[in-house]
Amino acid sequence: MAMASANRNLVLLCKMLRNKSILFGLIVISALALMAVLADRLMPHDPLKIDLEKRLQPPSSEHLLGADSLGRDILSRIILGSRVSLGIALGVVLLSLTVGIILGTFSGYFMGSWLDEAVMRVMDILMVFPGVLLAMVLLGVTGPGFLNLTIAIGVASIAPFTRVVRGAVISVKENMYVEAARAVGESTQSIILRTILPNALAPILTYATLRMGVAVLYASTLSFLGLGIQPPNPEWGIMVSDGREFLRVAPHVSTFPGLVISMAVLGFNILGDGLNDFFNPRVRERRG
Amino acid sequence: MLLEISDLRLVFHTPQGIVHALNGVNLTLEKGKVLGIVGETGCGKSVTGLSIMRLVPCPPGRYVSGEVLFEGNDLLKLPITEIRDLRGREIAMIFQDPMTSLNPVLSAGDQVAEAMQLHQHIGRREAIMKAVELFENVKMPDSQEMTLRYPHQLSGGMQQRVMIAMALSCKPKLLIADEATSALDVTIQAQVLSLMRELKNKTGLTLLLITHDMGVVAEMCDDVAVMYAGSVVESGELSEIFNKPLHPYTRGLLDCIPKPHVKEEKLPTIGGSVIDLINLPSGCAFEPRCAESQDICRKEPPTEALVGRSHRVRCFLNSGN
Amino acid sequence: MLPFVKRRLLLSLLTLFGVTVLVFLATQIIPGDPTLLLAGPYATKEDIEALRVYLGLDKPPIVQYFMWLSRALRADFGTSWATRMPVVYEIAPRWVNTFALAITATIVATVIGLGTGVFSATRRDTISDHLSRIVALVGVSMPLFWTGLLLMALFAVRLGWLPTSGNETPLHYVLPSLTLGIYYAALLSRTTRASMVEIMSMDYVRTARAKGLPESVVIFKHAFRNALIPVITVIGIQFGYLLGGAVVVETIFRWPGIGSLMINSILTRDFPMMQAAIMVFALSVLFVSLVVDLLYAVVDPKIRYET
Repeated sequence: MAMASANRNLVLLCKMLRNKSILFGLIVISALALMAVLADRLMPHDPLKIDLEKRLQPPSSEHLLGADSLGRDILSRIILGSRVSLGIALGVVLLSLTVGIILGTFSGYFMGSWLDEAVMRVMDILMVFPGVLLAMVLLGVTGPGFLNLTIAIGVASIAPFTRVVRGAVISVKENMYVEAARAVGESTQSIILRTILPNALAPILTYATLRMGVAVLYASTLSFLGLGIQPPNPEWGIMVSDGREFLRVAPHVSTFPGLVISMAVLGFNILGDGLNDFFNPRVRERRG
Repeated sequence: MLLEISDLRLVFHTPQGIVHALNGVNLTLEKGKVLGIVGETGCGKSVTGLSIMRLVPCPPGRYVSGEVLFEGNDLLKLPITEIRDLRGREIAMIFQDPMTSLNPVLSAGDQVAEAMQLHQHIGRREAIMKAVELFENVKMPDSQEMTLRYPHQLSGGMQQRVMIAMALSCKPKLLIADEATSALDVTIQAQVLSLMRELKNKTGLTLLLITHDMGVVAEMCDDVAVMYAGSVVESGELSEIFNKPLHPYTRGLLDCIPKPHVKEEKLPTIGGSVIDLINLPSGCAFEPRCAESQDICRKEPPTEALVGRSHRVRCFLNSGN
Repeated sequence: MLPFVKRRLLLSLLTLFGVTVLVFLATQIIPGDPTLLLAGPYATKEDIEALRVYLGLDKPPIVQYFMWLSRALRADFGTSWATRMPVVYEIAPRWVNTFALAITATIVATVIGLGTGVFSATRRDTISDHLSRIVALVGVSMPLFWTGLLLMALFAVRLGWLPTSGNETPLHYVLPSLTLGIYYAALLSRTTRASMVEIMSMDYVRTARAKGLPESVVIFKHAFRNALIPVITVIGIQFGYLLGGAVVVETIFRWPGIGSLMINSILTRDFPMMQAAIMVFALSVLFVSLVVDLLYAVVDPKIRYET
């Protein structure tokens, strides 16, 4: 029996990989992940080493992507920065996914009850604040730093996640097989864990992927504004901010980190789009 | 002859392969008559109807060969602007699910008036007044008030009447009804059918009824065409087909109708399952499910033979072998 | 429609109330004693105590909340800790600036986004569609601050065609609203395309064609009007995000708006200013979402004629 389900999962995986978007997205993300994990071995220079003689040097054989305002190697800082960005993205999604699944499942399963109404009203209030803003305010209260940044963005992501989970649970709930399970006398807990959640997994997974891209975007934006990761830590957002004053003479300082941010987010978006297409085939053919 | 379809072949290019939707369809329809096309889901009857109006999206569809002659003109070769001129004015079509076939954001009156405004070049106010008249013709109560209603405010039967009014607004010569009563419940179905018959008698309208329901055919049609796997396997007058069905598939279909006065242990069925239109067999398409098949049925596809006044069959059992 | 409107207004008020509570609570948990800051280095112990009483900081939080709320309703948000001026004086003109930027950006985003979305959907799976989709995808992946800097680097710094900061002339509006507009246009384009593709495969589009209507009428009168319904909701939600994005854009282009004010007040820990800025943001978002919902009712007859 275990073999059969393992085989089924393998078949599913193969089918997924045939989707070009999923494949491309996975390649980009894996490259980033590898970069983050093997950072120590990939970096050509010490990312924190200041070398004022090499200030603002354009790309050269020594510094493949050039040097920043303090002479630090941009490439190395970008490589190490991947660890920060992916770490935050992972932390954010784990936090908001967990809370979102708990709140959203109960809210959706008991749709229309006081619990559902209460949760939805609270989410309404949270969603009045655009994501970056909410995180900003939280950081204003708590102060900057890696953990605070993760928590702030995580909290800001709870409301949209809850909504998506709730929506997915509601649409699964409408299906006949849930009625059937209830008619047979299955307990609520069992229905939720064994029937509803596995079937709601698809949209939740897709949204989680897209949300990781959003998290990278938020993290770099907040750091750019000075509220997130603080210097001298290498983070893509601060690196762009560093290069702001030197746009005329050394545009590469801001350009390369921004490019990497875009590629990371693009990777998550493409993967998310691919997953969406995979789980929602919308081919309508008129025949017969 | 109002409508003549000869050797129509249509394929769809899909990621799964080439779907052979129509494989040599031959049909004729005389003015003022009612022709019924029957068959199971996937046999190509809807696509045939859509082809007359050139509503089949091409791509992914492609007409490989054949003609659709309407009053002598091949509709497949006309430029799209002329086809649009014919649509709604000379040929009209109503569809299966009236709820989804009506635009939810436009009022019933507006939707019926639209075709008239386009083809008869009249203003909106005049068109709405004519719509009221049309609603009366299709036996809608409160016809004036109905024009202001939105589709979601109407029942299924009402919605289908709106569709009929819309289709007949410009007095077309031919009305194609694609499973027009299949989504309605039985009593409403009867009302709509009798309405269609009445309108036909009053105006000399020619009807093409596409359905899977033999009962509807028996009630409404002068001629019948039975389709399977994209071609017409048997066609002829209603009495010929019902009294002397020649093709095994036709016989199977008629056998499947439950007879309340006969006691049966098990309801008869046609064995096998619906054919795969991507991989058609090289012989007769029905052969895998046919209880009376012979060797030759597997090797070559049968050709159409005329048996009787207008009775045609596509089967080796009946071509005098 | 009236019961729908009443319900919506009630919901908005409820949410607003909740927002005020949240905003107030946020500032309660801030560590540190504000009176020391405000009183200045030369204050005596008595002065500090007097200040405490005056600010009402000796009373329990619930009382403080209502004091704050009643003052806020009279548009008195207190005095800025940084400038020592009433907060309202700063906020009002800045709000106008941000609003002007937001409206301009929304217009840009809506025109480009809707246009490309419909264009893409009607040419589904052609090269133009794929190109348009890729451009939108990339647009949505680029961080606002980077796009802004790139545009600034190219058009202002290198080519010198456009100014880099301030908001004096109409020309100043170009880069900031373009930066904001492009991102949200990309977002809107994707949503519009998805909505249109779904609508175009609906039965009633086929009915419209069957009537012999020209393709442009089929697309705009029949398909688009239906696709618009979910898209309007998205535009409304996006306005909120747009305000968030304005924060970044205002910082880069030194636009004197609420966004840059917010950042400054956070960095300088000027809490009255922060509170007021947040409230203004929240009010704007609530107002826009209310307007959008009402618009929704106008466009969708199912809501207008609730049976």
